Amino acid sequence: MIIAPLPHNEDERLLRTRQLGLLDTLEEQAYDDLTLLASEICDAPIALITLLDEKRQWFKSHHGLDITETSREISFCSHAILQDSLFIVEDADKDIRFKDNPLVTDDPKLKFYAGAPLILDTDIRVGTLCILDTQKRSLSEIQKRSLEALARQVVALFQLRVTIKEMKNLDKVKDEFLAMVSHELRSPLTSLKGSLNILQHLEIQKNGETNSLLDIAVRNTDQLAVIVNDILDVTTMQAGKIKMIFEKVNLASLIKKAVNQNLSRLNKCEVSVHIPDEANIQNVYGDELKLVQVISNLLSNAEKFSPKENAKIKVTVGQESNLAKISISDNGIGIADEFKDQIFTTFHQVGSDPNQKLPGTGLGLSICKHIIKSHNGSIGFTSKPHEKTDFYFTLPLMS
Amino acid sequence: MPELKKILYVEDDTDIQLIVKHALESICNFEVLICSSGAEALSLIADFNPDLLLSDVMMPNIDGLTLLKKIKKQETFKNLPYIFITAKSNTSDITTLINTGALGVIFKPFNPVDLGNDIQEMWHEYNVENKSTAPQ
Repeated sequence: MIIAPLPHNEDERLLRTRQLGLLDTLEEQAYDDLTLLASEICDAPIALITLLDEKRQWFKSHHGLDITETSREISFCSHAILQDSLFIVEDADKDIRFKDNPLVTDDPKLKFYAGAPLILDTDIRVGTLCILDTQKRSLSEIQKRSLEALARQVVALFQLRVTIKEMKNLDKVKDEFLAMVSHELRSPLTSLKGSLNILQHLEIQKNGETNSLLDIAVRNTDQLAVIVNDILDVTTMQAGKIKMIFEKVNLASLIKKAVNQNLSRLNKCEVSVHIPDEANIQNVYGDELKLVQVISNLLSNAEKFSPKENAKIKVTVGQESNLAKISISDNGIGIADEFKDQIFTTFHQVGSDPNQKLPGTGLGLSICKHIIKSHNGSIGFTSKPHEKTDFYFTLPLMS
Repeated sequence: MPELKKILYVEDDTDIQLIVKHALESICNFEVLICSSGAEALSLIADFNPDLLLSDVMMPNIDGLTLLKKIKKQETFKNLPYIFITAKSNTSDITTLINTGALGVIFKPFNPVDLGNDIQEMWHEYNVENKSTAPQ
């Protein structure tokens, strides 16, 4: 018996083999299907997918053979991975390298071997797809080509596995980054907003100019806080990671809560809330925090686009068959027809005038749409430019 | 209803510490002890004997949830009411915080002028609920 020499790049080869993360894993249908095909096409009783570890060959799939590994020294595959293409031993009894190999002299008494190296990146041969027989024999050209094609499929599966592993890692890094950004942005914002709010509140001598400068600082800090929240929301939303906690939510108290939370920023507007009696007892199934966020967003939009004077915002709850319909209308600048299709798209911001620069990120409505959609509701609007806009969303009522 | 007087506040950001101290002491007349870490809070809590724990969540070494577990292990403080202040916005993180039995969660950035009122409201709600569910 002649033991195969180590490949010239054995260290790297070993590293890459282990990095596949396949050694000692469970059997998988996808690999078993390929050994089944190899066995059928080549009409051989045994087909294996082998990986060459430092001291052993381990079988990711073993069709027609019970064991899952042998020592590397006696493996045919340690010879096969030195080849560029198919390695074939037609009669092991007549081959000086194998004739006294225990796999040949004892069970399973192999006579025939054909192995296609599994090659990563042109030169890293991690193992083989091989077929074995107990009779001396040969392979047809079709069988040879098929075996090599199947070996390439095994490599494709390996590469897919590596890619998925990398993606999962990246996803984890992204999550950690988001959590970090969220914390690192909100902490200074908390100090900034906190100091300004207290300054505003302090009973110290302030003249008109100081007051209006403070107002500017507070307003812009609040705006920054909204933007930070929106960006984090959109990122988690796009990653499909926004989790909703569904419970019974009373419509009337939901609306009151959302409006109350926003009263201070709506102080320039006349806000009226219309909740019909029956709405008081009606419930929807939803995530209250997220629904409040939707209403807050629509209220803030209404305020943003309202006229400076005589601004009126109306919040109404209605019912259309088994749906609750919540509307928020304003008498603001309205939305021009040409923008109607873009309004719920991420980063799109529109007004009645295309050249107008507006505050905000243009993320709010796409977040709203996502939230309402996950509640099996719909969101939309009607508008008359320079007159009014009426945003509404529907939610299925609980029976 | 017991009156809320003494608040133990745990926060590693020194700027936010100052702001909250001002908000709760000067604006609301609470007595506030500030700790910069969970370890400090654990060493000072017995002497201070607070009515309420107010704690940040993400802190180095001992985070807010771990701190809470450690405090609850002490017989004297096993029923100490607490409120979290957090920069997190992930719904599942927040649900975890609320499900520990917190009186409430305050989100950063917050308006410190309203902070005392918000805490007082949570305190009130908690005591009303406790009274109504207590065995007669």
